[in-house]
Amino acid sequence: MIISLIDSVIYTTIAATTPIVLPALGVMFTNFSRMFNIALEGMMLVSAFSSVLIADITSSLLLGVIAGIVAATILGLSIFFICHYFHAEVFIVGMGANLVATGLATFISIQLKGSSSLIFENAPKLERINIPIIKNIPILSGLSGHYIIDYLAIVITVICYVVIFHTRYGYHLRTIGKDAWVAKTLGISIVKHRFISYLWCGFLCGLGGAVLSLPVGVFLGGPVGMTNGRGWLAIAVLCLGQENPLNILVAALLIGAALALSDLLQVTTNLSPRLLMILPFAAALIAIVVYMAKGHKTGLGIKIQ
Amino acid sequence: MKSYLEMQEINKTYRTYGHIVMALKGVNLNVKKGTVHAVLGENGAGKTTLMEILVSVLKKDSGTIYFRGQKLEIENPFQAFAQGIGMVHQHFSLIKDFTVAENIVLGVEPVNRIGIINSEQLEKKVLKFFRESGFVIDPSVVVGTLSMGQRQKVEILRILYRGADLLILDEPTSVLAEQEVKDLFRVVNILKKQGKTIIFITHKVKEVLDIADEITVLREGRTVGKGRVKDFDKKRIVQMIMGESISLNIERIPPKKGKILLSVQGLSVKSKGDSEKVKDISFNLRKGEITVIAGVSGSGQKELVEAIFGLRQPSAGKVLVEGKDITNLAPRDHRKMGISYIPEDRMNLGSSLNSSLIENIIVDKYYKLPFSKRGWMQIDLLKKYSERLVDRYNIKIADVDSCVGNLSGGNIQRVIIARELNADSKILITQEPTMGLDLRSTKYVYNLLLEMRKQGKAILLLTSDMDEVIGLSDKILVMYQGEIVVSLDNNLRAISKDEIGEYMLGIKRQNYIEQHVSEVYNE
Amino acid sequence: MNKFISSLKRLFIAIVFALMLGAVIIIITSSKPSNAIKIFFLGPFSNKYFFGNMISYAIPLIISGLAASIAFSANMWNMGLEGQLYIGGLCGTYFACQMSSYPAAIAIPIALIVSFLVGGAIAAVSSYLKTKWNINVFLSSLLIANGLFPFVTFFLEGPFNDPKAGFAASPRFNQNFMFSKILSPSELHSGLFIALGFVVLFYFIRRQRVLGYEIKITGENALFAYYGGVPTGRVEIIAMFLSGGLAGLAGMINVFGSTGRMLGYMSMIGWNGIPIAIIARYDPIIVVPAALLFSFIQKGAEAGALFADITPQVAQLIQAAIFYIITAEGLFDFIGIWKRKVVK
Repeated sequence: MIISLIDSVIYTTIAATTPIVLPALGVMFTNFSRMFNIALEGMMLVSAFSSVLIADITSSLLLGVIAGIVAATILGLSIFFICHYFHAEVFIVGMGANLVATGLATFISIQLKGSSSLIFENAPKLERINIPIIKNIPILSGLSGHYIIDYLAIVITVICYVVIFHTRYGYHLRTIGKDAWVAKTLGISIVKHRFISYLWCGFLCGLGGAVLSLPVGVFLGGPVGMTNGRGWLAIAVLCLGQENPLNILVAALLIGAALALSDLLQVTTNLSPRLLMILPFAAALIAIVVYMAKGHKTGLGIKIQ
Repeated sequence: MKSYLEMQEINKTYRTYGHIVMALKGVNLNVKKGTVHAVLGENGAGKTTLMEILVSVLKKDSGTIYFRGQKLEIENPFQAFAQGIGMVHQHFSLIKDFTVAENIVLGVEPVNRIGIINSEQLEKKVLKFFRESGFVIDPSVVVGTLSMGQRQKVEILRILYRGADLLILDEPTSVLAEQEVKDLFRVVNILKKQGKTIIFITHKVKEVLDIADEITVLREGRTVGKGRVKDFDKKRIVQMIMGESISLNIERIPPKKGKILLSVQGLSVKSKGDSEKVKDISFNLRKGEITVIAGVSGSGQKELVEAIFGLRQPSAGKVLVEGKDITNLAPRDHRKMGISYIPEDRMNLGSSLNSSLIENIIVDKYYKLPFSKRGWMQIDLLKKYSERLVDRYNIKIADVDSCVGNLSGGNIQRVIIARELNADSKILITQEPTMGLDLRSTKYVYNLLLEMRKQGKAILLLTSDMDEVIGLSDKILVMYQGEIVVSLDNNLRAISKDEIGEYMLGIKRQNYIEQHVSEVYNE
Repeated sequence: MNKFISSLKRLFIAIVFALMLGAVIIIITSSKPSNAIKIFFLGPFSNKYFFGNMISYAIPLIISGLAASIAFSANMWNMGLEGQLYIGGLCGTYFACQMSSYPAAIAIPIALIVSFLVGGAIAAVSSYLKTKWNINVFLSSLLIANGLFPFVTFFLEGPFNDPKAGFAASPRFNQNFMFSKILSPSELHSGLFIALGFVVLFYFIRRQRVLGYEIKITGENALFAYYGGVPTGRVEIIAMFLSGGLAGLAGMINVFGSTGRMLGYMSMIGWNGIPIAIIARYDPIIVVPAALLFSFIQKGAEAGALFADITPQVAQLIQAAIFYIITAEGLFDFIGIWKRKVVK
């Protein structure tokens, strides 16, 4: 009994971590390039919307995912362009992007089907992948049965780690993050890196949004859309994980565990599901307080305060 | 035949806030291959500007540069490296979190076939390079843990790695301890033996005599002297750097020994890098006296003053105003105790550029009567008060509600002066008050300071302008590398610029602490 | 004065842009665009009912806009307005319910005060976290707001739920407490005077009170303010407290004026306060027309939904788009330069 409980918790944790670690990595790139993107909620939302819509229309999961990535990237790049060419404040533009994303997605969904919640019955759905041997091992079985994007997320985290710490691009990017003047003196183009970081962010948030809607073929819009604050949790995770993708993964797992815990408590206790929804945010805040109380800096570049 | 490096008639002007600053006026520089060439001068003389033009961090307005006999036309520092010219800036361009190896290759990181950088291979490669060049530092060490001297070696190694044949070192010893300076000179000599050419930017005359073969002296953007070090003596060099003494012709009455208003005792201040910028400083400010702290910038004056005013926490020591300890209090409390402060940073600290003139001028007194009654700001009164000050201090502004950010630098300074000198203070601290001001404004400020002095205020003036030091001071404290190296009484005898210069440039030093600490603590 | 005029110019451009964008969207999505456009733009003005409703909708937006203005003026990025509004409204409504047998003259002020204090306290927590551990106000207020939403909704679905209602809502309190309608048959209520009262209050605070100056100067350059002697730490906490308090108040006034009970959904009033504040450049007076602009768009879309074939969601879209464009400061410079060239 307990073991199956642990299995289930591990499973839920991993599942919950994916849509948090992906945008967190995305915003990590934009943080390095000193153009902090707060529109993660919006980017994931448009991705969730586009991916399931296109998957339904084309009956192709792949095209759906691509559509999601494209949508998120377009939104992200719009932020980049407005900030760079019009010298706008990236935080305010980011907030505007979030509102535009929610407004646009909800609006289009109502135009199409009259409701901000869309159910695509005929859309191809992402399938779980059951790993042959592992799914039968007691505690490890929680590792099997996830969607491909979940497994991709782990691979991507490792790739990000390698890119950030072991490629020339990564060195240059980190240099900008640590000291933009030094970067300039060495001929590193800050604009180019900002642009690329928004491409990363678009790709990652695109995947993050797709994994929300494609498995179930549903889109939920409205003021509290299906992203449900994950974009903000991703920012908190960045705060905790700083510049190391592996640390970010750990922090995301922590938040994912909080989400899993809230699920678990829903099932096993009488506690109201509503109250349990507070858990991840409370966990994030407490984690940040503990982290900062130990004397770390947030390292969130452009933050004004 | 042209020499190795020839810079001819270099001109450079900066435009800021309607001011035109001529940084370089027809400067000439001639460097022979395989020599150590020192470019000497005070702060602001144009040395760094000249070198930054050479490596293309800045663009010259006019003039020509010849390198190895050919005209040099480069667009950015990368191309400078390609030509074999590399510069180690005064502010290190190292990333503290990266290792030595990573910093050395930063910008030209070696990658394997799939674009990955392997740390081990990187370190091996860098180590190989180290051995070839004759220096060894552990390449896997994180730069943040290294001492300043070692960091500097990394900087030098970096430009050598990029193939520099002509190395430019900007104020390399300003961050080094004495032992490290010796080490640096050893390195410089090794490089010279390898056939490299080194340009040394510095204001420290003693070092120049130790290490340089030839010198060029700049003053106020012009070349005022050049030649072989052997042909000069210390005094002449100092004279060239400092220039002729121009007396300001200020009439002054020597003060009676006034009451001590502010006392600094054993103050030490650490900077972010955990290095001590201010080392155990003690002095007093007396009523009706102008005390000048003279020193080249970077000697710790900035940190000292910030600590005195409550903007920075000292790591040790006390600040007392008329006996009361104000050491760790906030600026408001300092102001309440009667201290005013005109800072060097006019744009970010001394004023709020996005705010109106009224808002800038009243920031220290808005909460007091008559400017506010029971929490209500007396707007008409504030406006009239501001207008009066605008008038009195000749601030050129459209109206008192306009943003301070639209004003020229000199006018912004007037706003700050107007505010700080009308704060009913007993003690005035001011840093570089006339920097960037024209002659008329400068004289105006001097008169104000002397007027304050007559009224019995204690004034602490920090400046790098020698005329000010000599013309205005009753007492001169010279700061060098965080310590007070001498205290000179300007009223006892005439003190020459050269004499002060020798202390400022690190040539001479008296045991100030022994002489004066009793005075500080026992009155 | 110059700032005031340039802010008005900015508002004007926002209005023009909004109208153009609205027209474009309607033309695209409506089958009878000319009719739909007429209804969208003129609908809110067509009679007392619609006009009153438009102003009524703006009332909590005005207060929320003030709330955002105060915090952002002090450079405190209070992202938790929606949460502060929500929990302030909840607590105030609770007190109103408990005091159903008391006279309105006592119950109403107490409920309002409670909502103010609760909202203010929540916001002050973020401020405290900044002062103590240098935790970013943006992040902490955001996380707290996201946590508050399910927290309050829980109560409205559970312990504080009205079983007769089929959804998440509190019981109704003594309906005598409701603000009186001032322009029947519309919903416009006397809460308008409270909102305008706060506008005037904060106008005077900003312009003439010591606190107003302190907030402004701290927001413009906190280092300079500290150097000049302003107690910046204290000022920041006060600014956040007032901001959260106003947000809570906005929630309560919405209850007393419109809904009669606390409803368990995200009204977006808190969030919308931010773009309103930014459009108004934090000026309390300009917050009013900025709020009215948002309200006009909302009601125009609703009228369009009633009488034409516009979806009301177009309102959110236009509001978001205005905000998005407003942020492109450079765009305005660009337009300014272009105008000058054309004029010459």
